[in-house]
Amino acid sequence: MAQQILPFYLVCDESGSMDGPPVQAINDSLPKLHAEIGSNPVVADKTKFCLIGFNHSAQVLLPLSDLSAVGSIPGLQASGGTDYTSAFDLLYDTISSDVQQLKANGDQVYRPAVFFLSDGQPGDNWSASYQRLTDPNWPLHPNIMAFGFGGVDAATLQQVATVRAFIADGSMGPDAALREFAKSLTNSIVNSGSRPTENGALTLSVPDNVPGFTALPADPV
Amino acid sequence: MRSPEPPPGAMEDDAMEDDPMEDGIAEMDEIALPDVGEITEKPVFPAPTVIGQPPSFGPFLGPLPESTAAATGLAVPDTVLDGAELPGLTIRGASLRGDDHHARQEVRQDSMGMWRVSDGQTAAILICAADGVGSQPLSHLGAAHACAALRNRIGDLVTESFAAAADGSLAQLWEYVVADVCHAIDEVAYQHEVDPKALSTTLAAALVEAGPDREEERRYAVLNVGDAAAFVLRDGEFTACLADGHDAAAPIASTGTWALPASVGAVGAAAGTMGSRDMLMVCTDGMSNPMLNRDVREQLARWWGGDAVPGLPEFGWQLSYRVKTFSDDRTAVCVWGRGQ
Repeated sequence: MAQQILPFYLVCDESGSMDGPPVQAINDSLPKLHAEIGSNPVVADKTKFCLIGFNHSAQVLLPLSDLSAVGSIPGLQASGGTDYTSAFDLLYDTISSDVQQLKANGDQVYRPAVFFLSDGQPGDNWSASYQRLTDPNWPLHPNIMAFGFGGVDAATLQQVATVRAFIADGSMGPDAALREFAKSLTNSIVNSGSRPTENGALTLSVPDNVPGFTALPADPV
Repeated sequence: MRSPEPPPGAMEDDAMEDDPMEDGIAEMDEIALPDVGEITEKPVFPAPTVIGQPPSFGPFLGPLPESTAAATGLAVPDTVLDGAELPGLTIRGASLRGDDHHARQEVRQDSMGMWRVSDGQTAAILICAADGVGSQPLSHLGAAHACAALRNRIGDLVTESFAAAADGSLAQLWEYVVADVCHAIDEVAYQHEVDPKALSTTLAAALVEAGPDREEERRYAVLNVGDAAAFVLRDGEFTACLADGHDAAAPIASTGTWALPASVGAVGAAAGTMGSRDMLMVCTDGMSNPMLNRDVREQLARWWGGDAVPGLPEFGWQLSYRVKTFSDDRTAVCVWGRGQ
């Protein structure tokens, strides 16, 4: 039986600079996100969640899942450098295989939504990998919201985002700002999953403002 | 003919001797009332039918709506059931608030209508289903006014509509009609001091020729704007009358739709004839989206494709079927080409 599915991907920097309060703030927030989405069956039925961590390489920490059906979300472990190419390549491959599987089930799949979080400037040339991921001719190209703090600059975030970018404004510490980031992710999933568009479809609900962050327009590469 | 037993507490015959309504009561005795019988056990009401994998939650209504739309002062019931039985035609309609709106305490944004219309030369039944755009604050008003405005406009055009269907100019006529409906919605927006987009709605409607003498070749003409849809059920198969933007084969499902009054797009037009074994349905996407599933279409065909047309409460129960992840408002108005 076909279902309507909106896939969410959290692509999270776990490089060495995230060590300490930042990665702890994310790891503290993931169980809350899990509890809130998993206990909201109207939303959990229609959304699926995937966690990808990246530093100098990238890995799928939680495959695309129904959050009401998983026991817990794995935590991040900070180490290594910051390589966006590996993150975008893995995201491309993961979205491809996930959508293929969902379509094989007969599901109606809505455009994947990506929350990208980084605290540092990438050390690689990532433009080719990014352009493949966001190529309008690739039918599965995702909507991307980019969040940043620490060493990453606003222009980089704007280039990564296809919808909107958010950069920490320094009004709160990294851990508090990251808790707000996690809340905005949770709210976006809840709103996306329970407020269909005009044709009953599912689409990314984009936050206008996130406390501790300044919203910036997307400026994709 | 047996007179029904008087209910407990009814007046004795001698107490009614001087009742000025006595003649009327005597006439009522001539009506064949069903023998209700004695209810000895508590009736069992079945839960909504689950088709395929069940949702992770049971049916619920939640608190009363508290959204901006709920504060407009116009009541929007959670559920509407309506129907009629005419010579040679049977109509059933229901509009149900979806679980998304239950969960968010928002009003039902779908609307529907069924009317008899006539221009003095040709009589027809008009059925409508409209889906207010989810993101717009007063779209429930737009949906209701779209149905009402169409009824007001099309009453003078019944003969012309069927003639246009015959000579291939129906699409042009419908564009003219829809433009007038948009104008009516604009006026409502002006009264509410909001942008007309706030009342955005899709719309599907059908004119079905009335009269008992048309049972085997009854003409119909349908229109749609956006993803509101129309189907004919014939020989156990649903066939879409119009394009509604659905493309099940697309890798990524569409998230947009055309809507009245500000972004109408192309007005869908189609016409045909239906027989006494056929059923014509107009519906919102809360109905047509789950119908992309074969299991749903087959279940609906089993309910609605047989000899018996469902009663009104039964129709509402049938329309409340549950399919995992499909929790939008759901509206369908059906016309069977035969009387009861």
